[in-house]
Amino acid sequence: MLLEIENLRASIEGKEILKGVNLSVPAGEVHAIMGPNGSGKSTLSSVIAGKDGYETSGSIRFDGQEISDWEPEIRAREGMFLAFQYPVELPGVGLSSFLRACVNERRKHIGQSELDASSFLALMREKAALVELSQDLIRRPVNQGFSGGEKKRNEIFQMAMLDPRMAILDETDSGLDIDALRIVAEGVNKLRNPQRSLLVITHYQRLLEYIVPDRVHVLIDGAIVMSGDRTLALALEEKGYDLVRAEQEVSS
Amino acid sequence: MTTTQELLGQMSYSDQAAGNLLNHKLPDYRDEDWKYTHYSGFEHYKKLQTSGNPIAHPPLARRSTTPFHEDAWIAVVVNGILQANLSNLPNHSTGIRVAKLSEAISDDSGLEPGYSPGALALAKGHYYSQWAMAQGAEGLFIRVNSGIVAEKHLLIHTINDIQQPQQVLPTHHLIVLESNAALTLSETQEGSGEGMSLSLQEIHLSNQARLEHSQLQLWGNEFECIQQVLVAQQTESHYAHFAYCGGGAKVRNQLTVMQEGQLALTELTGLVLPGVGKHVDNQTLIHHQSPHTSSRQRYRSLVAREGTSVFNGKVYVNPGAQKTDAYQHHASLLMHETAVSNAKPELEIYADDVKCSHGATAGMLDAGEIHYMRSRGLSEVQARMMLQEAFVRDLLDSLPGESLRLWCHNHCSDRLNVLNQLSI
Repeated sequence: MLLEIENLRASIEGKEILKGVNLSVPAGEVHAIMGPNGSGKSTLSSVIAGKDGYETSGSIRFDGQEISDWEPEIRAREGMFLAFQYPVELPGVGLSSFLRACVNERRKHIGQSELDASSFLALMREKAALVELSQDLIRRPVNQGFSGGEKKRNEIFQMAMLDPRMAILDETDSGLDIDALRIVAEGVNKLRNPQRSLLVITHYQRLLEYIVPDRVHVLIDGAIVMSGDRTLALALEEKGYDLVRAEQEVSS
Repeated sequence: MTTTQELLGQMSYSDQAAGNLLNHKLPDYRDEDWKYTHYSGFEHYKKLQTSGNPIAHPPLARRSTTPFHEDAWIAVVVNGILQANLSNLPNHSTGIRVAKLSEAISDDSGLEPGYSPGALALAKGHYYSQWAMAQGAEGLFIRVNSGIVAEKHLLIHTINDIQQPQQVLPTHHLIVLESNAALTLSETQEGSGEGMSLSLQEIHLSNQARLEHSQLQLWGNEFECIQQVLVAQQTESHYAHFAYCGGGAKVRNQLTVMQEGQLALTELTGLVLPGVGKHVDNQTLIHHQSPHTSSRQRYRSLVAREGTSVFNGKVYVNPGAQKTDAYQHHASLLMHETAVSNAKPELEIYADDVKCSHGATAGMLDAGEIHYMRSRGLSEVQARMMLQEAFVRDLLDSLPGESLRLWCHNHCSDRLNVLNQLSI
């Protein structure tokens, strides 16, 4: 199991958001997490990535190692990647120098040699093509002056550069038009491989038409209340969370 | 009967400065310009003042080499005194003279009345500058002859070598660029231990003269500094000043520019990095006295834990100085919640057809930005440094000369690295 979460609880400023999440994602699988607003989806992704400010308990194991106490940068260097719902602008920090530092930190951490300038540039050109990110954007400061769609594409570009083992996409589809959604989804699909797992957090079924999940989980009020195959996402879209939940309760 | 004027004319500038001191009192917190930075112990310090003869010890020898401007002329100045044997000075044929101030006064060569020592400082110097002159402080005389464009940079290595604690070491440089002359001048200023450098510089730029002047302050953690640079600019002259404040316990820099001639242009740039618990105060005054003059000031401070940065920038526009174009901006980044930045822009405008703008910002790094960077694999210190370097990069990039730029970049990175470790 690449990612194993057991009884994960998280609260912020005294308010409990995650109330015992259990989730297992085997290597190579794509899992989707759906849920209504305020159910804790983004908190779950933040806590897995190691964001400060949460009181947590329970266990998060990544490739068998307990990572709950790890700093976010160590998780990233180990191969955990979070594509932010709201990518952050870094004023004056050039995208390529930023990424070069990140990629080399990860490479050093896993015992690979650092990339020199020319091989790094070649890698950047190759990965930028995946999400049709223009060379002009690569020369700019990170996310500064990027459109909403460009920021999301930039997240997937960074994911491609960092070559993670586990990627969490936090509402990567939000704010994207139809064409941008297709470009992002195709980019993600090209990054699927038998060693890499994806956790796709989304409100809408549409993204899952492009990035077809192996499993779908429904997060409501801080806990995963049901799981199923991709048809669960279709049922949710058709009937809404309440009805699906009610049916579930009746059948159990 | 001799008139007062004639009497004054017969007095040396030192005697006049000593006279001025009688009318000055030691500035303290009640003086607006000194309210954040005052040296109440100065009276005590100056009693301890000794003649300041340098002890030439072996480490000084290495100062004659420099990490930047490999091909520069170098003047090594120890406790105000030019060390010719450690220096590499331009020879006579270059049209550039670098000499001891006292020598230039005694042989009287080229010290036209307007350019004599004290010509600016007797009228505009603050208490400490008057005091330095009253001591007859030694320093450099630098003159670039009319029409000469210096083919190499001139680098001044200033070393303050105290012989006893709380010693005050005054220096007085006089720099004259005649019409159409051009020079790139860089200074490194060093001193360690519990001493104080008291530095006065008088700079005259004649018509169309151009001076690029960088001052790198690399004082030790216990060392204090009071510096005043006074500049008089004539028609179409250009003065560019870069201040790098990278050390010192308590540092006060005053930069006063009189734009006497039309179309004079002044560019002041400052990068201020007070150490943990240390204090750096920069005061600028640009006096637009003639029409069509321009000034541009950009200062940035990065303040470590318990450190203080003060910036007081004044732009004064005379009634006749129409079409003045003045810009001033100060931004500070506080590296810790105990860091302090005091910024005060002052504009006094007595002409009605001018363009003057100013702005100031202060803030800390955004936690969201740092988290984003960490979640991509950078450590907190790496993330902070990358954001801080982005904050100052354009200032460093405006430095003259690749090797100086690189050296300063590296010094700044190393210093930020240390200050971050101590400020997280």
